[in-house]
Amino acid sequence: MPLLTFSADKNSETVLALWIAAAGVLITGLAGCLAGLFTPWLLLLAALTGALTVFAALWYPPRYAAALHGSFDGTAVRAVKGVLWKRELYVPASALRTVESGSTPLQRRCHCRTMVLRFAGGAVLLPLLPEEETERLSKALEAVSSDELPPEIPETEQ
Amino acid sequence: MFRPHPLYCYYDSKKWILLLLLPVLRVVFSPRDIVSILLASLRDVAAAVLLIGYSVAKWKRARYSLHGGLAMRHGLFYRRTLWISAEDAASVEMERSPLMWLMGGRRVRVNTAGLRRRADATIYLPSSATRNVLMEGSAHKRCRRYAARAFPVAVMSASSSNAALGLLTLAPAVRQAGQILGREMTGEVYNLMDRLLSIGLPPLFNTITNVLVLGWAYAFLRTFTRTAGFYAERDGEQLHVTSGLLTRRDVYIDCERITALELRQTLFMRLFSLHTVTITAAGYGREKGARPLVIPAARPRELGAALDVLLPEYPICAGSLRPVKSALWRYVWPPLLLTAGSLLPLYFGGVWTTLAAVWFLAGAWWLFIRLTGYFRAGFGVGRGAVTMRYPRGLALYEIHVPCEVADCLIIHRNPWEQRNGTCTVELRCFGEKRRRHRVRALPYEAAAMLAGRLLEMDAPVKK
Repeated sequence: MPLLTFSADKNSETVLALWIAAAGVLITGLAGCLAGLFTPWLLLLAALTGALTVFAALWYPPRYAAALHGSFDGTAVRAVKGVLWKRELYVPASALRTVESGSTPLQRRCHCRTMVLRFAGGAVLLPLLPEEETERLSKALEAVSSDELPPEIPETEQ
Repeated sequence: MFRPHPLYCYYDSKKWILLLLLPVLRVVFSPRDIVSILLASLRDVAAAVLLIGYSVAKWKRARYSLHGGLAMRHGLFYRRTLWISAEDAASVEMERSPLMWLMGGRRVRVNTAGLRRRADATIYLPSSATRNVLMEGSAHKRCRRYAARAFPVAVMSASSSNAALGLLTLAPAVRQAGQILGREMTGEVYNLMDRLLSIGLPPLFNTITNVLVLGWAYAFLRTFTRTAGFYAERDGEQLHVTSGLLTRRDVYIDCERITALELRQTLFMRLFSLHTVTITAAGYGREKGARPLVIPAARPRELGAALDVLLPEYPICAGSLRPVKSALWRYVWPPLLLTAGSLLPLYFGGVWTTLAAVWFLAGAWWLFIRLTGYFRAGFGVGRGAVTMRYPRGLALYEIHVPCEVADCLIIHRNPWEQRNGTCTVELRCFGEKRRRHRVRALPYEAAAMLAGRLLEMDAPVKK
């Protein structure tokens, strides 16, 4: 089987940047509300979270997308993810029980998906993969697992 | 189809039977005329009788059959029919408490490979029926046997008994007994402990110590009675484990379904050079507080001989990759911090000195474990197995997993590890407790190479 590679793209960066921005706006808004309720000093916290959100939304997504990559050679899925805390995953194809992919409306709009590889001892997530690559990987994993099924036993007449 | 043993009624309605004791307790503790006592107890007794009657009706309708597996039908309102084929049963546990021995019945739990909190099927059978069932599987002559000695088992029980677990089990029982027998009873228990264990501590610490010692003693007795008389036999592809002093448990495990072998050693057991060996097999050790033991406690030579007898074909390899020398600090800083924290109560002096001493001892205990853990830690892939040695909590672990059941290997690298070229290796595989095995501070390049080797070995094995 040819080596199948996958990695995040520009769309993944956009989704991640929007997620960070939404979370940042929410936290900044909450800090602003608390400042209104208790003390104006909390506006400093709101300003700080706002600044952090802008920084994180600009700095993190390109690095995350650059770090997320992997491959499937017919026997195992290998993937690397994480910017500061790096994680290298090695999952044998035959250990996989189910392969699942899901997408939120935002992910659908940006044509990317999250893949969940489930095995007996737990599951690993490959978030924000491009739609076509997710489909190719799912099909390849399905093909491998269907090859492993035992041959059907013909029914004998009694 | 047969009806289960009448013990079914007792265990199904066990919690309600206590309500029937209320009239007796009322006669003992508030002597009045019999009519008023009966009237006062009427509601409780009627409720209990109704619920017990419901259990009896359930028992009368319940049926089971043992042909090629277990077929079971039970329930009144919600009728359940269950079928487990003999091939799907990963482990079968047969239990005999003193009451079951008197009544001539047994509790049989059948477990399959599914991840569930309880057994897939629990059934009460007459002892003759269980004998027939188990004789079917033991056609071979049993010649390979390991029996645990009493002293190592006592050391293991003392070491692994958890005061908190003992308290959690014991405290509700004492409180409930206090409510039934009068408030004085609870006080009497703790006063007795005070008299037995008066070691000159300040009153506050004395009470805490008494409570902890009581909890530990209870947990010790529980573990010891559960593990005493332990022996394991290898019979063809089946492993038969028997244990228990009062309640006897026979567990039959399919050796092909053993997915991990774990050696555990606490610091206390290290003093006696003892190891505990547990396995991961679907269903075995699933019950609360149970541990899937195959060797409760043994010295290295005895351990090797016992494993040769019980699991000769199980793949094992050496953990050749060791943590880097500069990583000692990573292993010891948490216990060092804890130990240093004991200076705080020491600074206040007075009664806090005792707390500081206890705090310091706890920190030092943990420090020794982490230090030993650092020198023993390792990771290896070879001979069809993955091996990991690491410290976790207050014990040292060594785990051997066949390559084909190693589901996922993850290499973690935080910024600090990226800078000094090390990593943390995590292995995930099937287990009843869903635990992750982690070895810290391994050299990154070598760990990545071993991960690649695992996948290379895994592919042909699975094909």
